[in-house]
Amino acid sequence: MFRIVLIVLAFEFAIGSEPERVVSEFHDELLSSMKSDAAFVERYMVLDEAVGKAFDVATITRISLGKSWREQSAEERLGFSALLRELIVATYTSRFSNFNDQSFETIEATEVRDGRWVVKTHLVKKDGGIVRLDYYFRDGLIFNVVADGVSDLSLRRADYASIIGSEGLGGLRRSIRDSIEEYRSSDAP
Amino acid sequence: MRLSLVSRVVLVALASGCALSPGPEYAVYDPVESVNRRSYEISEALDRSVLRPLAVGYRKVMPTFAEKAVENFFTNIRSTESALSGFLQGAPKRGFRDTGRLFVNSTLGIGGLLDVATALGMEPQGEDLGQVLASWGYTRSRYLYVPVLGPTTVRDLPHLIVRASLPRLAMHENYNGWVGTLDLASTRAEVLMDTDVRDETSLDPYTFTREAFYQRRRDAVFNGEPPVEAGFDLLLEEFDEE
Repeated sequence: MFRIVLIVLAFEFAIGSEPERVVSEFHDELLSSMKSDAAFVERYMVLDEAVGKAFDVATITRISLGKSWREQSAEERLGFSALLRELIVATYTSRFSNFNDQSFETIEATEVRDGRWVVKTHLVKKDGGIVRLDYYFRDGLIFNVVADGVSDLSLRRADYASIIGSEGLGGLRRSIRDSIEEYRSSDAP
Repeated sequence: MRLSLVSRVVLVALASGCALSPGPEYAVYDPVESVNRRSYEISEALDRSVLRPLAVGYRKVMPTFAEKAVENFFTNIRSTESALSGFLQGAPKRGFRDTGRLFVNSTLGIGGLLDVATALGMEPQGEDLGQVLASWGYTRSRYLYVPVLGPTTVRDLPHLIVRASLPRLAMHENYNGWVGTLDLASTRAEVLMDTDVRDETSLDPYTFTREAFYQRRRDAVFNGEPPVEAGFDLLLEEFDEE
């Protein structure tokens, strides 16, 4: 009986918390993408699945759009969510395209309160330089990534508020589509 | 205690800047956005036509070790601000660590060309006068975009000026046009990747730069360890206040 308890505990510690596992699997996919020689579209497909598993795109969309989100119909909200997911995947596919001996390290995972976790990690570069990557979780999924103290979600929210203010939601949609297209074309052979 | 006229003016300016900046701590406050945007556009035009090409060319021409040596040299001179700022924040350990770095790199590191201190485990502390003022309670400040020098706040302006002036003050007449150009090219090359990512990612680069600046400064004030709860603020705004 004691042995079984020990094995269960060892297994639990080896895996760590659920958020740690989510981040670790996502990092593995990023590393695979960097090491892969596959074309943009193939790497995009793989990372699309990884983003779908790890990220709460609906919450990211809601926070990114701020007040404008409340004025949207359920269908429009779904449309924006799909568009934002496309942008997030295209960004990761484009950024993580070259492997140069980088690695990821998980530093710690903390439950701030019920279901809200922070997983602190490091992206270690070849020269030993470090990029701090903190993943913020809500109900088991990532909704915010903070890189060296700068929140991706805050930047997105501020950026989008500015475009919505000057060009409306239609303008924001166009700008996001243009960005996705740029990512796709920049990786074309 | 007797204060000089300059000190009084600076203190009054800082006190008024502090009192007149509303809103939450470390948050964006940009009451003169139209002026700042104009300044940003002028700076960007200059950057696109002169500074960025200079930095790209510099990176192409310079061997990596030489580029690193130039960066180390100017960083070493500028680390005097960090050492002083550590003491002013009441963090003598940090102050002594940067003072030690300055001594080691200036001697063993051949005038700062080599970063021997980091290899010996003396990590740079990255303090500055803006962080000193924040630690003294000046946590709300209005945004300024200074042509060529870039983003800052009223609180961080002394740091921006000191940072730009230190090599000239340290090198006197040896800081000629060539050295100045080298300093400029090296400084711009250091942030090439950051600005390229910004241009690739942002829809409104001005807003993006401003938001990122405030967040970086907040992170620096907390020495890379801001309260984790703050990361959930956006969530609280959207979900918990309903």
